[in-house]
Amino acid sequence: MPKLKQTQAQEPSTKARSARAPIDLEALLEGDPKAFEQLVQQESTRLYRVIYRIVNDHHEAESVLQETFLQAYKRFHTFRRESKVTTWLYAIGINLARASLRKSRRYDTLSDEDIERLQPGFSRGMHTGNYEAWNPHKMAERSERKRLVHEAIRKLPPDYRLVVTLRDIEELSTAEVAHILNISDGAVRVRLHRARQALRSLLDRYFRS
Amino acid sequence: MLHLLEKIRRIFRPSPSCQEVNRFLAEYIEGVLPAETQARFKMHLDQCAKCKPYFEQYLMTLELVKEDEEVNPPEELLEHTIEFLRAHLNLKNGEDRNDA
Ligand SMILES: [Zn+2]
Repeated sequence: MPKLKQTQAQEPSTKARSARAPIDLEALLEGDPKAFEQLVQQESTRLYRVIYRIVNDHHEAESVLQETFLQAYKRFHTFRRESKVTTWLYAIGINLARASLRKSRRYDTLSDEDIERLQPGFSRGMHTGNYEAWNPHKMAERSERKRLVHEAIRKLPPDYRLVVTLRDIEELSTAEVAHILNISDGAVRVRLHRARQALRSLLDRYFRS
Repeated sequence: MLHLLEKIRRIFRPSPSCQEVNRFLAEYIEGVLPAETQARFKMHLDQCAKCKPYFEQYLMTLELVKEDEEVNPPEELLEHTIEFLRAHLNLKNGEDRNDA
């Protein structure tokens, strides 16, 4: 499929929902192979990235992605039209990725207690910590900065990493993330906020003056 | 008269605490708080010596996270996936479905 690769190369930001040919939903739900392949072509890259960030292994991510599409195809008749079909697809993928992660804990992440410790402190409603602007020199080194940020995200517990991935990296809406994870909008924001604060705290160690 | 009372009420309404502002930072950034709360939060974040630098770091963290795109799918991902699905689902190329 050389043609598709070219398109992707021209649009590195698959984040922004670029102008994509709309999929014929009725055909898709009836199991039309063309519509299905179109879905596979349009969603594989982004869904792969999300799955990879859960399982952290390229081989496993590819196999989970394939299984996701396989299950989706077999289960189109259960799609309730309460959400976009892509949201439904992501929910399948994420559940499979989580199941795969449970089977094989691949590396250590922070615990919930660690996340709690990384939250800011307050006394009588006021911040107890001292915060100063980060050192621009320490942030200037692009590759080092990227490595540190990537490592910090990797350290988050899976549930926290997932909201950061979906909301902040892949830029899905709060409502979409809520639907995928089957939690409320408010719960998405709470988890996201705690994850962001933990990341801020981890990065502060490197970037403070 | 009511209008004036409301104005006075607003003037004496205590500023939100750092902790209150912090708790709803995600909502604030998304802009989903009531307009008046949004404005009071903004004032606090602009003026508070603790919250201002904290909020700057929080926003910077968001920027840095968005930069993280180190996950590059393998080149043949799509080919493999479509091959896999064709094999498992007995899909044809999609063209001959209408003949069925
Ligand atoms: Zn404050």
